[in-house]
Amino acid sequence: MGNSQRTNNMKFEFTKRILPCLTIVLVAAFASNIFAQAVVYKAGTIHTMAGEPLTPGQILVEDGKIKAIGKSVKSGNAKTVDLGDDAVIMPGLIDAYSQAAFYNGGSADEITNEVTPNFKAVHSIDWSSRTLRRVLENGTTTVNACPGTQNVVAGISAIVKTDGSQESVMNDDAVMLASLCNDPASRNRSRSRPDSIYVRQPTNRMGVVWILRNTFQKTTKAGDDSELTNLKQVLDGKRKLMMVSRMSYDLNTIGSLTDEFDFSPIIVGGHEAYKIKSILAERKFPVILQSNPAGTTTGREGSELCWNNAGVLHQAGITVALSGSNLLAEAQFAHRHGLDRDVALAAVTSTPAKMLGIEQQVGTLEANKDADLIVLNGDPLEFTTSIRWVMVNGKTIGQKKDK
Amino acid sequence: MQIANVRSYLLFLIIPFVVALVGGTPVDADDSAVLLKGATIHAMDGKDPFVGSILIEDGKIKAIGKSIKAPKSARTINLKGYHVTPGLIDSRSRLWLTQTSVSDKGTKADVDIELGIDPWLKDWQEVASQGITSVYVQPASGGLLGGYGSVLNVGPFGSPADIVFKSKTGLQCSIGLTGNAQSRFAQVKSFEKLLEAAKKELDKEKDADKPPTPRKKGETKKGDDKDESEDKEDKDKDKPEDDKDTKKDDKDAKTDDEKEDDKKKTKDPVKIALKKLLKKEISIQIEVHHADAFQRVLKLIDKYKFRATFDGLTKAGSAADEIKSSNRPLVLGPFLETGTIPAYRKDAQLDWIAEEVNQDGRLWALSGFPTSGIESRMLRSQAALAIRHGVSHGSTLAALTINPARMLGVADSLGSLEKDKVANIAVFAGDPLNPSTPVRMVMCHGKITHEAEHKAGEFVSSDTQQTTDELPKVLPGKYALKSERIMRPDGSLAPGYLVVDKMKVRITTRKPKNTPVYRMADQVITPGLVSVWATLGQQGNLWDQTESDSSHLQPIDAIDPTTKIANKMLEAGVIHIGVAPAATTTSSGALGQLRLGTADYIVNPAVAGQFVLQSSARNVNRYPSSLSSQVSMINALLNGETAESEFYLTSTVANAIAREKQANLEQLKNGKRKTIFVASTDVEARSAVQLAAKHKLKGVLAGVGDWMDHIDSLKENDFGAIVVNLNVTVFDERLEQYVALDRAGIPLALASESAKQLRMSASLMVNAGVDPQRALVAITSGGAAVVGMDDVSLKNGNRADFVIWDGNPLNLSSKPLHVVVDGKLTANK
Amino acid sequence: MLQRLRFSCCFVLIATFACATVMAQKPLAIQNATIITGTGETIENGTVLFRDGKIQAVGKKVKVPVAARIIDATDHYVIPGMVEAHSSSGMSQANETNQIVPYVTVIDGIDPMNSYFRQARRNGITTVRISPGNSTMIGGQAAVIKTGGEFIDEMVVDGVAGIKISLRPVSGSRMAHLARLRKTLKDAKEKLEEKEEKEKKAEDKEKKDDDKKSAAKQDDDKKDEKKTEDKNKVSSPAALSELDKAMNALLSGKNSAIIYCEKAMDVGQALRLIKEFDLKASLVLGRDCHKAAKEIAASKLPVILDPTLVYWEEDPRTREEKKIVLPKIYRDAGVDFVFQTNRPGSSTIGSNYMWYQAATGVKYGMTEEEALAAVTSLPAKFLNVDKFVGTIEKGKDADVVILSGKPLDLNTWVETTIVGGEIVYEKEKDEQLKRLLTGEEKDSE
Repeated sequence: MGNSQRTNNMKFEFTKRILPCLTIVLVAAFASNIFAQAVVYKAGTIHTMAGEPLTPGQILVEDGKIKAIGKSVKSGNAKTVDLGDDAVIMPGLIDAYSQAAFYNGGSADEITNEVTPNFKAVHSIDWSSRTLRRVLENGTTTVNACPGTQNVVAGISAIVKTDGSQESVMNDDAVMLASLCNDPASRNRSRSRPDSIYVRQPTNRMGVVWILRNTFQKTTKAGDDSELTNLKQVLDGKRKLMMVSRMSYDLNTIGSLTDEFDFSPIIVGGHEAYKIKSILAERKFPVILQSNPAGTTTGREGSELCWNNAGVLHQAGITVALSGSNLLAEAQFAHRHGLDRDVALAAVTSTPAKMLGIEQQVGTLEANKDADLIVLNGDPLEFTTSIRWVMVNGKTIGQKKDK
Repeated sequence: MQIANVRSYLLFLIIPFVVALVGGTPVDADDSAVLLKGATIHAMDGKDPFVGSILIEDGKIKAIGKSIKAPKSARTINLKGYHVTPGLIDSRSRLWLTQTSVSDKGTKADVDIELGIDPWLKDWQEVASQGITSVYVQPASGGLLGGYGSVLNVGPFGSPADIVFKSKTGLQCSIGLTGNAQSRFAQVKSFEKLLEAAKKELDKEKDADKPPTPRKKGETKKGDDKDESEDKEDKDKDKPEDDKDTKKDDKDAKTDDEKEDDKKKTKDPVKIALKKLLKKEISIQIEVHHADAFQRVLKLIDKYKFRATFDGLTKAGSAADEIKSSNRPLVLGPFLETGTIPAYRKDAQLDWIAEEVNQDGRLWALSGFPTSGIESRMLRSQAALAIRHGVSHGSTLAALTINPARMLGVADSLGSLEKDKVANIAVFAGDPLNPSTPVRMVMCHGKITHEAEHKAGEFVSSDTQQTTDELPKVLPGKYALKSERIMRPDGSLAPGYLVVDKMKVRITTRKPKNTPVYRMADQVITPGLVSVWATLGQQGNLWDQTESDSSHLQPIDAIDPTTKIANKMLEAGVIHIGVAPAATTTSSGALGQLRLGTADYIVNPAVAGQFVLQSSARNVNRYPSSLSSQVSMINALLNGETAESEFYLTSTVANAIAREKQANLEQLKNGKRKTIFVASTDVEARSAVQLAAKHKLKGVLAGVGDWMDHIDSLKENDFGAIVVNLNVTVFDERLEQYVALDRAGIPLALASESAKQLRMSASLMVNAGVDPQRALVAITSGGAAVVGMDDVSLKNGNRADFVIWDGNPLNLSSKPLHVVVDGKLTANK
Repeated sequence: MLQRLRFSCCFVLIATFACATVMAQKPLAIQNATIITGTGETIENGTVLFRDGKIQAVGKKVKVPVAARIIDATDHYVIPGMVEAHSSSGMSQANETNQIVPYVTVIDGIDPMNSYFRQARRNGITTVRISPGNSTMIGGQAAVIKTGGEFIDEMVVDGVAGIKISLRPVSGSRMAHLARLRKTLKDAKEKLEEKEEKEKKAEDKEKKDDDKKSAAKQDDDKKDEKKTEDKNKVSSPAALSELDKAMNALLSGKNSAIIYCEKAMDVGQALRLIKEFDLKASLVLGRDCHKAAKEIAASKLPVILDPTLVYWEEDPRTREEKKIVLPKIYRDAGVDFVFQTNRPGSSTIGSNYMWYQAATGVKYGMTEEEALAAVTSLPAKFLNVDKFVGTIEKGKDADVVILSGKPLDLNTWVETTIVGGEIVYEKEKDEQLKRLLTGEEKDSE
């Protein structure tokens, strides 16, 4: 379908709207000066996630970007805001596998076919969805909006900012999603009439693996302009692949699949990854751990949970990221159960950014990166700490009047 | 900029009338008095309306009169040109009741309605915004003896004690709501048996407790009667009979064991209730609709002497003279049926009511008998319909204010604007009983429960007084109608001549030469009403689900315009109808234009195309099953890639259909036809606007969604908007959205299945703040223009399709006198 | 049934007596700990000494007998055992199918081996009031019990700890539910008044004969006369049904009411019931009741919050979402409240841990002292067992928790839980927790 409808659409919008107002360019220049008023924020601690935290630290934000950050910053004509020395600034949280961006948290799947590599989740994103606003209030500034797990090859995710403004699409043609778990097979037996021409094939786990292997075989043989170009990019290593998988035997199967076809997926879910941590470490598959109900010992698909899954995987040398609607709580409980402090903080900021390949723009607080940050009134890894306000692209959201 | 529906809360002092709370609510120190100045006041205290002022302090009316002095600290509100009435009272409401307690029927008189009240429900906002300050709520009708009802306030009071104004006001009873004549007879019989049992027990008690000194009949009797006289007019005929029966002579002293069985008093709630009734401590509300049941209950009242109010009586026309002679208080209605009509009220006869209630001093109240809390907001629409049935303006206003207050025994503090009464006040920007008149302010217990900036308008009542010529049965080929109010294309009503010549119209201000002129005085002449989306009750034919791309379909082929529903719509003034395909397939075909009342009814089979982005068009068993696939399918269609049909058709037929589809889509792209996008959620509306912008379509947005934050993008891509099924239970927030669309200059059209609903939606929108002229345009020529129908306004050269009304169609009390199609009178009633 | 009631209502008198003689316990002492007594005083490297299940002494310098077992708690914290004021877990089935069963008691339904008690001990809860569930109109009697011990009789502190009333209708409308509840209470009240009237009449007859007969020894045998009079009153001729007895206890104030209000409208009705039948009552509030915070504050009744403290509420009209924080709303309204915990697995964040609920309180505006009190001394006061538990003071039960760090800190774990002077939980010996934190299978690897 050629380049994505989104960017072409953006160009169309751009010419239609901006060109006619070139005549008042002077006013625009003047306006942009006021609009992007530079501000210096002073705080007791700044976790830059790129080296040691600054205690205290200052950060200059202008035009939605971080202009400078350090112990002290040349403020020029910028306004300075002192947040107090109990305030802590850290990068905006990043959820590398999220469904929060779809219509009130539903999933976006085209389930009329089991393999839909060209399905784009970006069209189903509901910019004012309630779940998007909830994760924003919990500190998440960037999400990788992934299609659901009802298809074996689900489609292509979109990386967006959570401030709900339409211009905040970072990459609408990001990661390919596949699932190697029971979900694609789970509902097919009961859903449609057996004689319907639309019966879906995978009715059990073996079926899922067969379809996956079959699709990969077809992709290796496929020409350039066929349906499977997106999947071909995965095998050529030009596009990242995320595979949803939870049980230890599923993770084993992924191991063997990567031997047959050369691709190296990012594991999502990984509820029983701690059981086969050596295999994953050897193949250097990064793992995104999903949140589990508190205080329980069994997770989805009957998986046996280990509360310190993140800590165990980290010790085994596997890069670990966390996912969930309240990322800060996930990091807090991971640290309480055994993951070291800075690894826990990285698991919700810089690590997912590296995984998604957007570490140039977000994930850490460094000069000319996006001004995505959250301000807390204490140590982020304490249950008694609350988020004061969140900033995405330089715009503060939920800022309370007091300081 | 008009601020729509700003709800500001003044500090206020709650004086609990019912139960004096220990410690009471603290008196607010800086409670400021409020002075309403310069309004036309309908005080409902028997005197005529006058222009004056009202001073309100501590939740009470401190002073009222032509000119009164007020403390400097008082907040003065200038209400010149506005109309002020006592807060309206809905005497049969379901407000404050939770979902389950709304339909709860008691059967053993043991249900106390106050147990089902949820003071945190938010429905009161819609009801308060229409001027209603108090409601009477009782268990649902259906049980022979349901239980006790209470009078409640309408406002943000938050605690049960402050909501209840008067508890245990009356006993609910209903007879004949189910079954046939036999079951009605049986119900009256069992009611009589219960009364008899209660009376026997009462007599036994009266004989048992002989007081030592015969009590002087005078003073205690008067005590009993005090609130009763309050209810009934003094010159009430049967009052003397009541006194006869209490002069019983008393028997000997009571022995010890007689005192004993006294103590073992009956626990049966029905007996307790009926004994209170027979001792005239409470009154009973009997809902009865059939004449035979009414007559039998009347005999019971004469025999047992209890105070009763009759409700409903929608089919008691034949007992009109008994009703007259009984002179019992009545609660009548509904005059406007908003929901599904229950069996016992089917084809109600309401014409006897006007003559009965127009006698001055006749005690009756008006209610819409709503089935949900929020429907009480339609009280003024019910009043408008009562006026349409001939009830006088004064009697109707009394039926919403002083009469219900008297019947509920709260007339000492509610129902009229007099000194020291509770400050329940409603301020209207025009005629209070015209539902489209915006409400400027409403006060309950001195606390402002609704306030909105609305200019005082010319919504004056529309009864035409002047004489008009009689139109001949068959109108000549060429004639002219002279009227003060002919609707111009911009919605304004101005005097002039409407000349009809060879089925075309022309408007001039000079008298046309050698053409017969009929003088219509100030009757309103407008183009025929337009419903851009109607199915004339034939949804079945339009419901086609097989193919997700059915751009070739034209539903107008499947419509029969001569059905009963179509004729009723024509009689009610609707001439132009848009026949749209059902929203079950993503590209669902063409919207056709239909004209009622003439043989060649098809004006244009394909006026606009329709794309559906709603979940109703997503089908798990066929592509597309998600929104993004719908978007990509529409993109593909508009880029010329039509998917081959899923049917096993011969290639010639398949190609013909494909060409047809392509042709229709082409018309959309070159802008000859409008494109209707059916979308409700925010993301669907956004996709619709993007699709229209991308393919340069002339877009129209239809659907129920909240498009508040799309208004600028809709304006930018000059979209039209179709207002879909605005009904009684819609929240004010959604109405504000249409006001915002209208203010942004986005043309509106209305879609509804009946003329009544069309005019009701328009009046709701005007009441919320839409400009009346633009609303009139929206239900006539403007609506047609939105979806691309040809011009139906009264402009030179257009077809002679118009309607003659006895008042502004936005006011529900006006009715169509003549419907003219192609210059000829259509056979109306 | 009669035996059960008499046993539980006079248990309080003999409880201490039984502990002292039966179990000849070795004294136990905790040394060099930072002790937060719960009375507002914090003792740096203090010592607390337990003897025979009671706190013998607590302070900076405490003489420890040589035979005592010593626990060294250097740079550990010691806090009073936590108290959960309302929980329906720990029983096989929390609700009866019959709607009105005031005579039933939870003591017969509690399973000491239930996983709830193991989790409670692991998270530092030493005392809990187990009460019937929320879907029975009058659910039965609650009981305050300790979370240590194998047999229920050992665990019970107060068998008469309130009758559970739920205003949430199981089926049908709220009006019918409330009408039936009011009718039950009114009938019980009338029967009680009738009984009292008959007794007064019987008493007057008796008093008249007594004056004639008894001349000299009035006051010394007054007390046992009262005792005998009690005995024969209980076995008065019209044997009261169990139902009437339970209701009489409620209406006469001997037993309090635990009223569950699901919606804000229930609060108004609950306050009306309490006023009309002048009940001693405490309120268990569902989420929606935050709208009635003003009335609740005015009523000054003990309040137990919904386990989900923070949630999002959608306004049906504007479809906007608002974040509702219950501790903040009630604290601003001036209500004294305590926390409940969720069942494990009911939410992804830790609302099933009592310390997490206290931490959430601090997160949204409570001070650390207020939050700690809300899980120790305040619930003890609400359950009026503050004479036994809730703070570390001389003479109280020996219920304490040794923490690895400052209370409410993220990395603080419960090291040891002591109930009645016995060690009932040690983190060292918690195999399940070890497996969950290391992922190694004990046997297979």
